[in-house]
Amino acid sequence: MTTQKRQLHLGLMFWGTGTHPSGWRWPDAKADAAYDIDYLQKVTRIAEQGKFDFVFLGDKLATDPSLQRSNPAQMSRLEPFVAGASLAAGTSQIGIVVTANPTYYDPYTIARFFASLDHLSKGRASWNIVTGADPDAAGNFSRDEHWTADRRYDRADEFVATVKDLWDSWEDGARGAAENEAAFDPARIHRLEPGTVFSVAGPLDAPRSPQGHPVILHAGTSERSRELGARDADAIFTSHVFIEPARAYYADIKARARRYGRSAEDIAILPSLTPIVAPSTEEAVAIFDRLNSFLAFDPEDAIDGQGVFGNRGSARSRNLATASKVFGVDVTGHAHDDFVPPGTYEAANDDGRRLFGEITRLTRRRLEGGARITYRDLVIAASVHVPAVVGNPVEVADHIQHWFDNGAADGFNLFPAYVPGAVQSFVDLVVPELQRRGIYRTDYSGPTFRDHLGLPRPASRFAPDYTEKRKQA
Amino acid sequence: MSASKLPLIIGYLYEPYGSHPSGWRSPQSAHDPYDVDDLVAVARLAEDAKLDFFAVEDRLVADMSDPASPSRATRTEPFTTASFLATKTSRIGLLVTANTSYYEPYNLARLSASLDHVTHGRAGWTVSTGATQPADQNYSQSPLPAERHYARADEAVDVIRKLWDSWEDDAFIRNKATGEFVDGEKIHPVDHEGEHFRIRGPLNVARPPQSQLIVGHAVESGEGEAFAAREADVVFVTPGSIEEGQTLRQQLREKASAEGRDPDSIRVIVEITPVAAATDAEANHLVAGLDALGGHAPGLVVVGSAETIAAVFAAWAEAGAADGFLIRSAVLPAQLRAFAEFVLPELRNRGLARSDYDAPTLRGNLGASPIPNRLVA
Repeated sequence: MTTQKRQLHLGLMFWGTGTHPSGWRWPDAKADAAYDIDYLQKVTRIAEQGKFDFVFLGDKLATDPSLQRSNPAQMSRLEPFVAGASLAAGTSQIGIVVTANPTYYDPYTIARFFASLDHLSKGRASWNIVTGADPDAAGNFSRDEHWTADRRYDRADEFVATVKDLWDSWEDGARGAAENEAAFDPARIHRLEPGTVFSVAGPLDAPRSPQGHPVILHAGTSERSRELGARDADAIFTSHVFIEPARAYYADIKARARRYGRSAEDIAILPSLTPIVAPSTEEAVAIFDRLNSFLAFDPEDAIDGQGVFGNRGSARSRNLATASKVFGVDVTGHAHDDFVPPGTYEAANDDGRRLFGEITRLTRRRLEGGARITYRDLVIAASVHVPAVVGNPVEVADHIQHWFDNGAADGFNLFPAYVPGAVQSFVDLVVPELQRRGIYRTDYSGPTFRDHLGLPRPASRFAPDYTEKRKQA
Repeated sequence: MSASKLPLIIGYLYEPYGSHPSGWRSPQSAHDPYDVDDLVAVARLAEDAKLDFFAVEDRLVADMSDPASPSRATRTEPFTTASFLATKTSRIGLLVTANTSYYEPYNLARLSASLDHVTHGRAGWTVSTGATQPADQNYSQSPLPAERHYARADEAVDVIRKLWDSWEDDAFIRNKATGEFVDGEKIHPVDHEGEHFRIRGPLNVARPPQSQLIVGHAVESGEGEAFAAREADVVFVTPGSIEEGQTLRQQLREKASAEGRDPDSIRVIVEITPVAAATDAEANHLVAGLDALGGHAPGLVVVGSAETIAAVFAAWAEAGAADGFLIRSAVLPAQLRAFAEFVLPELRNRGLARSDYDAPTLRGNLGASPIPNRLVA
């Protein structure tokens, strides 16, 4: 047992033009980054210089021009397996997370894509399982309707088990060497039993990959999602804004994992976090404000989710009418740059009061004194509400360590609001501070993503000594 | 009989263990398909030889029937392999085989369009179907007759072509000053309602750099010929003789004409394993050594010195029996290197092969025409 302090895990949620809806308008942003693989590789190498555990490629299975308002970086981009394999070719150590949806794929395809990516990347492949929260995807896959969550998870549960069996279908060492007459040993390559949803004979058309099982990630708060994650995932993403619910979720997942015979350390909980960091607090707040200044506000009569470009974007309208609803107090009719009087806080509902706290935490502006909260701040807080931290390197590291030390996080999936600036500044300013505190690696401890997460390489369940080893463990 | 256009198209078929069943056991063999550095080295050899494309084939099943012949049992997946190679190469075309019987068209459209972006317009898709590459047992399906697989392929290719077109080339505005990112009028749903698929669109990937990827098909049946005549830019064939090749190419050109296509837009590529050495005797000795280990190289095999092999290529071209060749290597990487070092210079001397790439895209190098957007009036 090592005496080293518990170590943070960091990932980069990779949207080429930034995770902020207006990140692409930042002066240094590359507005056409989504299709510039050389640039995407360059940014990934910045994260790799920062010793990040992984780069994360999300996915959606439907799009609409209206997404340009809320999620321009998600509207149109490279398919994640293609992007992931290309990023693997341009990097050497960072884990590569590819999102793939069991609702719209077959297990054989997914098993071989990840096995292949794991071989090509020398053990850095990872599957982020999403079951399809996006109802519009059904329209692109010949489905009459969006499946219910139960139906999706019924399929996903058996899907994941089948994929793992396929990954195991070639035992380690089943490949022969050229000095043998046979290139493989049929006795160590196995077929699968048919399941309820799937009938997959196997074996996979590839030998066991470097990690044995590529790393599995999952996100979600529903009962079925928590169960899938606790049973099958090596890491779980969350998106809590406040620490109390994050702690409750963390404890719940770890408890469920133990019920599946796993240890708490077998599963890492990684909340998302948008860090805005600069050498000084004032500079960081200025960046935050400038990013938000690029947001187009909606007319006062725009209805939630129906912005100026269409109706698919899920984000709330950016106007005082929406802010009034969210804060529970009528703030319509005011100029955006006017100061909000303290009475508005008194009149706000609980969510609204929490949001006032968030505005102050992020902008350092208050209802009284020097820097004052404006109505513009209310519109932005009501429409763009993500877990974020704004500050100098010590302040950002404090926030991270607070969650890390208090049962809310084993690490973070970092959302770079603007690219490459937010990646570079985090690596340059915050990473050294975390390393100084002894809670973050100064170098990779091994070549594979499982190594980064401190996970052992699993044996094939078809290996002769598999059951015996499980009993001993 | 229409003569072949010169120079010929020369592509490479990557077979992880070589085309000879015992190629991987040859003393000359130095290739581990699961060592990515070996894979990259082979692709770069093909690129240095200025070959038109590097094709990654696929089967979707592990055929374990012959442990001595591993090429049918195992391979890396084509899209991930080609995407990885995209960054490790810069000029050579990258063809992936993908089977329309076992993929959703929306996923295939995303994968292929994205491959064209990361290769900067060097991607091609060899369409296969469950008719000749059955994988029902791994896809919870029951076997279907060939015509059903081809009916699905027809519809899949049709809707994928529309999805590739769903973003006009200038759909992106990306004006930082005004905040306009895209022009919604230039992003089109496809609203496809067919026998097999209902797909609304648009695709969530920008229009590929080549607009439409190069489409290939390996013909093994009448259904395959009809499909190729409708859709394929390059057709892979395995005739047993020059005469068979002549007939097959003529048939394909006529069928393409009957589909309203320019017959020169369908390029008939003959699969061939050239076993090259400095002399005919050495080459024959090589083959004898491989055969002694077990098996024979399948399909068309030509064994000999550069002159011998180039003469065969020339005869096929003169007879109008091929628009090009898909090179298979009996032993990796030795026989690819031998082809590049011995045979290609001779082919170039005879005007049969290019000495450099003409264009940045695969479509350009193949001399294929640009394609207008079918969703724009």
